[in-house]
Amino acid sequence: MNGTIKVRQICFMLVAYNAATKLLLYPTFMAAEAGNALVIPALVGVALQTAAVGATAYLSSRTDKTLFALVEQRLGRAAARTVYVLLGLYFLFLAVVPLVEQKNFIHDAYYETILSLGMLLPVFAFLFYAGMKSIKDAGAFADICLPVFAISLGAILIMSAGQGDYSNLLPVADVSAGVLGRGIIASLYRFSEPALLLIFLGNFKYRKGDAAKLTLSCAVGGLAVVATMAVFYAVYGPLARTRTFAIVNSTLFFSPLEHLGRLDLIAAYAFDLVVLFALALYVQAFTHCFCRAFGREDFNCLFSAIATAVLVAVVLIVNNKYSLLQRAAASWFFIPVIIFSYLLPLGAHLLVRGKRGGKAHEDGR
Amino acid sequence: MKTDAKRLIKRGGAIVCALIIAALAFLFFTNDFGLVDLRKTSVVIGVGLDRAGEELELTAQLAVPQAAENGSETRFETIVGKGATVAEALNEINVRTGFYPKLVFCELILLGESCLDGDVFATLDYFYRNEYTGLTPKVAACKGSAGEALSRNLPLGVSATDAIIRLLSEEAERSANVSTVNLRDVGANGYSPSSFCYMPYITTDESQDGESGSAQSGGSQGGEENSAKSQGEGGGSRSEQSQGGDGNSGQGAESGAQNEGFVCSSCALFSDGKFVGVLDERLTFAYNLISGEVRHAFLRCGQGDDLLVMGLRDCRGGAKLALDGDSPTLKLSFSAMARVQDGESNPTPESEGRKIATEEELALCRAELEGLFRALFDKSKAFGCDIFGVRTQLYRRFRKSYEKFEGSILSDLSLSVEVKLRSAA
Amino acid sequence: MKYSLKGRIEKICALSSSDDVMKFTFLSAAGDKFACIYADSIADKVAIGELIIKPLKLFDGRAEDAAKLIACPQLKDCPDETAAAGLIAEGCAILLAEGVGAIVAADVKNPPMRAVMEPPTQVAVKGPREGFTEDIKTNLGLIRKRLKSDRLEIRFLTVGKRSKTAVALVSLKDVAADGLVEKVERSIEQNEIDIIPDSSYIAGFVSRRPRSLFRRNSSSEKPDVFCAKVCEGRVGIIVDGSPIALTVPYTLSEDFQTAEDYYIVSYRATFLRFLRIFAVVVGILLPSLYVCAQLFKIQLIPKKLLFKIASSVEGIPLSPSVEMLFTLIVLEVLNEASVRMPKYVGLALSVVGALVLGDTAVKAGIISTPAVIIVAFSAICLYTVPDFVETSTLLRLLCLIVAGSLGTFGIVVLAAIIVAYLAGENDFGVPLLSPLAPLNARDMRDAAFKGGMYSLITRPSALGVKNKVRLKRNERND
Repeated sequence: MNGTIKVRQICFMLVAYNAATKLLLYPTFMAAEAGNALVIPALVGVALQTAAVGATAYLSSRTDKTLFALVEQRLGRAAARTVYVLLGLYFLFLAVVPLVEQKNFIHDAYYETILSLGMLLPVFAFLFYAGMKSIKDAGAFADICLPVFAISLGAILIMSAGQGDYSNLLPVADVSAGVLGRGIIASLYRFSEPALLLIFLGNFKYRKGDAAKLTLSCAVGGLAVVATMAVFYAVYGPLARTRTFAIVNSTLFFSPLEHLGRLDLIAAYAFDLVVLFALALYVQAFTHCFCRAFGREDFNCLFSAIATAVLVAVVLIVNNKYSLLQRAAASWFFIPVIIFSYLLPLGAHLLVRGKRGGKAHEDGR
Repeated sequence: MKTDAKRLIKRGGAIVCALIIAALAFLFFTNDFGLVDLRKTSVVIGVGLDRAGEELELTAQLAVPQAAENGSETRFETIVGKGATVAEALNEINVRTGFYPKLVFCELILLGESCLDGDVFATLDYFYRNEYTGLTPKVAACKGSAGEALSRNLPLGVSATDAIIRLLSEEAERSANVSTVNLRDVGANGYSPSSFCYMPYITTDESQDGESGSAQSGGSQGGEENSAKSQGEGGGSRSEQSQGGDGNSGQGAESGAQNEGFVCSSCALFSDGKFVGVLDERLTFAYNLISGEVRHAFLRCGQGDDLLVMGLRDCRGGAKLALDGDSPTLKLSFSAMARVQDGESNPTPESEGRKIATEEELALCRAELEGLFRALFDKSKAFGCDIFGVRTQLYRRFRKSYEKFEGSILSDLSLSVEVKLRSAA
Repeated sequence: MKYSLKGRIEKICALSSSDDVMKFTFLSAAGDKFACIYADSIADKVAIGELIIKPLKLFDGRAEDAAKLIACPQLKDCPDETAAAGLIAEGCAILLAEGVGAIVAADVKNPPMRAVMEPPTQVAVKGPREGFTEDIKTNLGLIRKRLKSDRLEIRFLTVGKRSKTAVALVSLKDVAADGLVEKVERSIEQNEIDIIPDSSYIAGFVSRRPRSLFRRNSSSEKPDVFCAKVCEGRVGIIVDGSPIALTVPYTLSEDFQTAEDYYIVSYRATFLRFLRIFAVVVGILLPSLYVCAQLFKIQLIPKKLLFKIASSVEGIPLSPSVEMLFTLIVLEVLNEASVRMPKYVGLALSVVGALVLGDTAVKAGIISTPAVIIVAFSAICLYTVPDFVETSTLLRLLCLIVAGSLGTFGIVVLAAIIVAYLAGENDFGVPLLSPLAPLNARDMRDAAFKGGMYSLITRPSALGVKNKVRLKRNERND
């Protein structure tokens, strides 16, 4: 996978994809974990992620090399390949929970009967196809996904914000340390965006101020998640832990829907389109890492097929075992996330020698 | 080689695409996934639940479309299913009729009197668990059997569900006549720290003669005045032959045995999921003024020559907990703009043209309201029911004192009432 | 004799092998024998007489100098008899002289042609009404009428082994991206074909993916639209024998723009553009969503409408998806027949289509009223963007098949696949979804919505043009 991407497009990913993968079952999960204080662990996660994205974005101001080139330069080609293979597998790992949630979302939001697993084949067909595409194409996808995300989530929030009792969120600050700690640990694995920036390193032209833009975009995406969670809990109160898929259920009480039908589902389906592209980005990242690791850019088709096959196998294995997956995710999924999304970018900083490639930063536009 | 491989992939890709389209076309024409499409679905618009011993009787009101070119025929049928739970009862309906009952359009869940004995959440559990039923259906309790209520034949092809839903309309809610709740509100309130929920209590209007009809309406002239007066008693809306409130509504004598409407003027209270009692019309009205979003209500004040019906607009009611040291106080506040709607046994053009309420009239209204709110507070204490959500407020706003006052707050609670009325200019 | 007139005439006529090739022999005033050979159907005999024969008949000089007398402004080189036969086929008149080796060819072609009139496929309420014709010279004349610039570059190509069709590449030298014209030229010339009956053949040559469902070039019958696109930095392609001119590179947003958008108030134009986009989306998705709602998710339909639909479909023998497919096929058949049928039977068949297939089928309970309404509305919606109809009708069918088999989720995945496909496509380096992806805020002023006159200061940047500014406003000191 090769090509260039623009900072604007990465910002769009950090807003749209960042929020999309977290708004399926995460609000329900946090409502069960932390009750009315659900926004606090989410805010902590957002803050940590934003800081890590800021640090990774700052890395791009110091070098115009890719991560592979950086590792290769300091530690050798074998080390670079190893890092990239592990990183590729990590992206596949990150795709598992959102993919299983997407499967459940399809079941609940698109159909009213129990379906066979074969109905998921279109998802994998799309992941395979989109997974073959280049970084440049990933950027183009983001250009399309952001307006779709903004309009769909905006519509959902408009339809649901007025239907809630926001006193359900009280008391917000009065949370026990145990609940807060459990909530943060359980949700940290979802805040993994800094790793994606590592893939784009060296593939975009850094200009002064881009690090701030990237950081701000990540914060905006995170705050969109927090806002949606707050509205969801305001609408349902203590029942929120029993209601799955906030984006579909929060809007139910909007009175015009009685006469117009469930038009809010159109917004939810448009939102799901963004989720599909967010999942595809993981497969694209895997393909990119493996192509780079093995030095075979023309094998993108093969690696995309491998990634899709692995995901098919995982979904088959965890079929009907979502709660098991959720418990595992809440207990130890944060460990690889800390390693690859938080420590690896910091480690990459250590690999950079001096300032950015001997060149001055490009100022302005 | 690379070019050959690319060509092979392109050709293979084209073949794969063709195969996919062929597979989709096959699926398209066979359409066999065990789908339950519109033609195999029975659309349930209302559900009535009754208990007969250990068994649950579910009466489903179905909309049955009739074949018509212009699509204007829909019949409403009721069908009863029995089982230990709601899920079993629905399954029995499926087995017996061959139609799959879908609850996505269910607008009403009516609990019969027999269901009020046990835990209401045990009865409603299915609806909270089912991912396909949103929590939008309105919930109501009824006197007698819910199944019989839904099976009533109403004129003009109106279904019982529609008739009851009209009673529970937003307009009725905004005029403080009715307390409406949906499944979400019942659950959110029931599972809150207050463990309290309520639902409208529906009775059937089986008045056989004009006297009982007149008594209910406050005895008088009929027409719009009648409606206003019956509303002025503090609540209630009636579903009659034509939706409530026409010239004949107060004159029950002429309807006689044919009157099969519903009346929803009171409110059933539940604490910890258990039924504790019913608020009568006036207390229901008072409760709606405090807790609901009321736009325009009518209140009867005084009696005899001093009888007044005040119209209240811009109503703002609230129940706020204050904690001064060890003494919790509930502050019930209400403010509105008041205007005389009806009154005086000998009206004159001058008095009828007068828009400003006098201080005496406002004082009369104020006293009436204060009396109602105090009676409501006393009732809540008598039932041991946290109808004002005091415990929830304690949890949300005074978290540190929650454990201290949680058990005793209802008994220790004192009341402060503030009613502000201003005259319409 | 070496240059025997009779022998050469016979040779040329044998090479031409057509009965409409005429020969006319005459003597000059000096007594030299001349012959003029031409194709009767295409050459202008009046021009031959006035420009060639008349001057020579009065000429009393040497036969070798006869060529200088020919008054025709367009003389072509003709090395031998074989070339002469080719030129006769192109409409030239060949002049031979007894004993003289040189062959003179004069371009006197005057083929039958249509008058310039309003194009039937692009009707304008406001704006110019001229349309291209099948004659390349007329078309180039219409272009030159609008672009009186010395930077206007026209390159002629000859395409088609047998048709020798003239193809003109039109561009502005100081605007079009470097190398773009050459790329287009190369993509045309690398193909060998017998005949080019229409510009759509050239469209296939210039497209990077000729088998794609989405086209890769824009077409227009209007010279004002064509010139405006050339001014943006595109390369125009005019094909002799076709009234439809092409422009490349192409972006999808072009199909949603019409000429009138630039002649009316920008707010109205913006509204119409949104309406077109909305109409196309509705036209493609409405039949599928209707089927999905019935089969998979009845909640999409409001309750009262659902009851009406349920009453209408009660008793219909076909499943919802097959019913919709059947109705769509009937519509397509009607559409095709209405284009092909002779005018005289048009009225009768319209009645058959409307009454029998529409009304009677519904009354017989074969199809339902909502299906007829939806299909009719969908068809009307798609025709708000006639340039996109070829693609959108197929997409509608594909969506229906996916909807009937996979439901709403299938539509979402199909949409995702189409978006992924389009986002990755480009022709001549210009992304198909530009200016949406990659996003260019400035160019969006002329894409989904229409900015005012003074917002179109620069040319579309995705085209990589040399001269970005197209509008400058000089402040007046009033």
